[in-house]
Parts: sequence; structure tokens; C-alpha cells
Amino acid sequence: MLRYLARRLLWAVPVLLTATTCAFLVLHLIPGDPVNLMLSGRPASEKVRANLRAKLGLDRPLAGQYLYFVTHAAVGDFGQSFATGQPVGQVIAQQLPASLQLAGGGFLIGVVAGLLLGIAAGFYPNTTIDGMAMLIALVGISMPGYWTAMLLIYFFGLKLGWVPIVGAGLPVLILPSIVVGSFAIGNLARLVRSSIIEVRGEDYVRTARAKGLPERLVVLRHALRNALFPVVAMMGLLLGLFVGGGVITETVFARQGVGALLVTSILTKDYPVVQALILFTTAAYVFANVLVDVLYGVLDPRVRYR
Amino acid sequence: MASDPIAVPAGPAQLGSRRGILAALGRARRYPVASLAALALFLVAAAAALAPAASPYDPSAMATGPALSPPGGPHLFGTDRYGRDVLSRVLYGARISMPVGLLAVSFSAVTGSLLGLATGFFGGSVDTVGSGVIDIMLGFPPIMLALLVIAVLGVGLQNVVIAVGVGGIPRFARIVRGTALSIRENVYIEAGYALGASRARLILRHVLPNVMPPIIVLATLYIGSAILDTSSLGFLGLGVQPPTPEWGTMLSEGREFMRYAPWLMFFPGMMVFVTVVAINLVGDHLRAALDPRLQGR
Repeated sequence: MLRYLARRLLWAVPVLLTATTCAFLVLHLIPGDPVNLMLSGRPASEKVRANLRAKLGLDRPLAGQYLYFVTHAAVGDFGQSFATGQPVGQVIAQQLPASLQLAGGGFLIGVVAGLLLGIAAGFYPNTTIDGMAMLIALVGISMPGYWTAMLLIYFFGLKLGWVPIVGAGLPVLILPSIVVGSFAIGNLARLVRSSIIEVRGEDYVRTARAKGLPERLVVLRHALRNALFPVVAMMGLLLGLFVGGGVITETVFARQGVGALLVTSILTKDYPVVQALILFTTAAYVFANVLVDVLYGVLDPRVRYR
Repeated sequence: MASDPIAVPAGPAQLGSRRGILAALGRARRYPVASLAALALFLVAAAAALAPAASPYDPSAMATGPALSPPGGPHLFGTDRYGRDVLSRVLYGARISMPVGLLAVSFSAVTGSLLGLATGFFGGSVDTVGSGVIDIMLGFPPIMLALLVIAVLGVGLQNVVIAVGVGGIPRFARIVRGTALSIRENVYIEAGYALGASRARLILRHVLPNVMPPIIVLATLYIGSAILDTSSLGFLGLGVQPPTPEWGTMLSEGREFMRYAPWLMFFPGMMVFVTVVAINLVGDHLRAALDPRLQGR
């Protein structure tokens, strides 16, 4: 098990190194002088410019700059935001709780609804239940997230007034969570369905039935348990959907959060924040995937020895 | 099976004939959902092709009527805040979203397939490096790759194609690599080597045609999400820029007027939804047709 864990963690190293290099290069690949961006058009003397350049580390050779960036990034130091002058770490930390709440709400709704739909469709394939569940899944996959959000705001927030769309507290979280969850529902439901159909044809399910086990136990103890392995494997991918979902949902609902911060930073060319967010999000995604793989290895010992 | 020449399925040459049309309708009746989806897709494509003739107004002409007038009368889908005709803009929007989606997928399919062919066919150190690249790209959340491209290249139509396409590259590469790996072991490849065929010839004439079915299936499945991503970038202000009538950009403009003019967000969103549902349905059908393992599921 330790060997397996080590192998998975080792896989994360090149990804994170690439992410670091990409983040570093962002500031160097953009057309124009970063100092001009930092000054955002204000006139400045050559001395001020030279000072800024030194402060950004841009007066060093490229290799030195890279080393500086990596060593500082490793301890979470990304410099200051061009826009506010605050340390970048602080800017992100302020936005993080809102994003985590949203991701949590979305995960709960997406996974519960996706599982239920997939299980229902998988155990009654080619019936009306299956048809309805797969229709919902198709709609979930095909609806643009921002459009789902706007329709929900319009009907449940503005027309019916059932849920608040601004303010604080749990009720405000309902609609955004549904939107983030909807990114996962369709994919998950389809996966669970096909996985259950496959497992139901397996010999061990037939054996369980043949030995006279009640259908309820066959389903719970034998079919469902094995059918859910691919779902666990997909959890890491779901996190990617939640990252994307967060970017869009936070923008539509005008919520605080890391996703909205990323979009604003790209639009306002606040590159230190962009760099930090690229690294931060990728690192979170990579480690979540490692965690999922390890969990998968714990659940299914066959995986570890592959 | 082909003992009776009349039973051969209608080919393109027969489509014009009465029997060809009847056969096509018969097939359509057997797959009503997929046929309906194909029809919807055809209509969207027609809207894109015929937009200049079909739209009642110039999509960027302002004050074609009172600003924010509701659907009905001379403006079937209403007007926006500048008095531009929403129907005309939605029709012209198909000219952006469809080609951008197609181009983005072509970009991922071609780049990804080349990478997959090279790694799968050559193996060895090419495979080690190539697979590493594929794995690393898969390690990024897809939207991050798109935003990274936009952050470096800036906003604009051309960059959207690259941004949306980049995320698809590793997915195509992985599937093509897997297929190429198994094809490489076939006797006909060995025969090709023995006959002195060059590697390029082997790849292009013998491997590529055999990896085409999975590429086509993945491409159809990917077009829908490419159109969604394109419109999402437009919505975030990171894609096609106003006043170009792109569906996502239109939705973002309509967001401010949601309370007073909900039609501004309704129609462009509906177009994205219908297009993507239709593509996904056709894609699912195609996948089921090409993959015998999925039949009856």
C-alpha cells in the first residue's frame, strides 16, 4: 500500500512542476512589459520603473527569476496583487471559504441526485423510469451552467420568491449549489447506470441469487457495492467539473469566491493573482485525484497491484 | 446477408430515388429521437448558413424598434437595450458557435490524434515522453487549461478556438494511443514492414483508418461540450467580444435585464441548449451504432 501511495504521489510531481512553469511563464509570455501593467497606464519616472522591476525580480536573468518564483511559490509567497497591493495569499484566503461552501453544497446535491438517478435507471433499464432518469441526465449534460443559473434565479428568486438570491446564510447557497451540482448529475447518472447494468450480469450476482438471497440483499451487498467502484474513480474528475462550475456559478450569482476572482484577475490583468490561482487550483485538483486513487486502492485491492 | 442485391442498404446514389427516401424515412421511424435531433441540428446549421437571408434585420443595427420591446409584432424574439433585433442576433449567433465548436474539436482531434498515433505506434522513448505529456495535461482541470490560454493570448475569436481545443487534446491522444497500440500488433502491419513500406505510409494508410471510428465518436461527443465551453467563455467576457452576436455574450448582456426583459436571456440560452442536446443525442446514437458492446443498453 505504501508503495502504491508513493507511486501516486510521485506522479503529482511533474504535473505540479509543469503548472509552476506555466504559471511562471504567464507573466513572461504576455505581450508588453509587466511593469506597465503594474502601473496601469500611470506615468512614472525611469527610477520608479527600475525599482518596480527590481521588486518584481524582473532585473534578474530568466533562470534566476524562475528559481526565485519556485522557491517563493513553495512557501505560498506570490508577491502582491497589482490591483489592490495586498499579498496574493491573503487575497485568495479571503475568497476561499465562499468557494468551499459552494463546492460542498454542489458536491452533496450532484452526488446524491446523480447516484439516485443512475441507480434507478440501472436497476430498471429500458423502462419509463430509465427513460426519465436518462432524460434528466441528458438535460444536465447539455444545459449551459450559466443558463441553468439564470433560469433558477428568474423563476425561483424573482418570480416565485421562494429562495433568496442575495445575502448570507444557508438559503442563499441553495440555488448556486444546484447549479454546481448540475454539472455532475448527468455524467454521474450515466456512469452509475452503465456500471450497474454491467455488474448485474456478473456471475457473482447470479450466484447470490441462486443461493436464495433476497433481491434487496443481492442489490445492496453485491451489485451496488461493486457498481460504485467506477463512481469513486470518477470523483476526482468531478472535482474538475466543480472548479469549472464554480467559475461560472460565482460569476452569475455575483458571489465571492476563487472562481470569480480568477475571471476578474484575468480581465484586469492582475497576473500575480492569476499565477497563484493556476497553481493553487491545479495542486488542489492533483491532490484530490491522488486521494481518490488511494481511496480506490483501499476499496479494491486489485488496483494496487496493477 | 448480401445474397439478395435488393437488400443492400441505400447508398448515397439511391437517396434521390423514391425508394431511397422511403428507406431513409423507415430508418428514421426506427430511431425517432436521433432523427429528431438530427433534424434540429440541420435546422441550426441552416440558420447559420442562411442567416443573412433569413434574419429580418441586420444583427448589429441599433434602434430597429423600441429598446427592450417584448417578443411579438415585428420582432418575434423582442429587442435588446439598443433596440437590436434578438431573432436576427440569435440566427447570426449560430454562425459563431457552430464553426468555433467545430474548429475547436478539429484542433483537439488533429493534435491529439497525432500525439496518440506517434506514442502508440512508435512506442519506446517516444511513448514515454508523449504519455507523460498526455498525463500531465490530464492532470489540469480542463477549464484551467482554457483560462491559461486566454490569460496568455488574450480574448478574441481565434484564441477561443485554441483555448477550448487544448482541453480536448489529451482525451483524443489517450484513445488514439490505446487503439494504435493494439493495431500495431496486427499481422498486416508486419506484412507492411516486410514489403518495405515506410513508417509514414504504414501510419497513414493502415493505422489511421483503423483509429478513425473512436476519433469520430469522441469528436461528436466533444462538439457539444466545445460549444458549451465557447459560450461559457463568451458569457464570462473571456471569449468572443461584443457586439459580435455570440450566444454566450448575448446571455451575459441579457443578465442585467433579467427582471425586465427575460427574453434576452431566454432565446440565446435556448439555442445553446437545443444545439448541444441535439449534438449529444446524435453522438450517443452514433456511439451505440459503432460500438456493438453498447447495443441493447
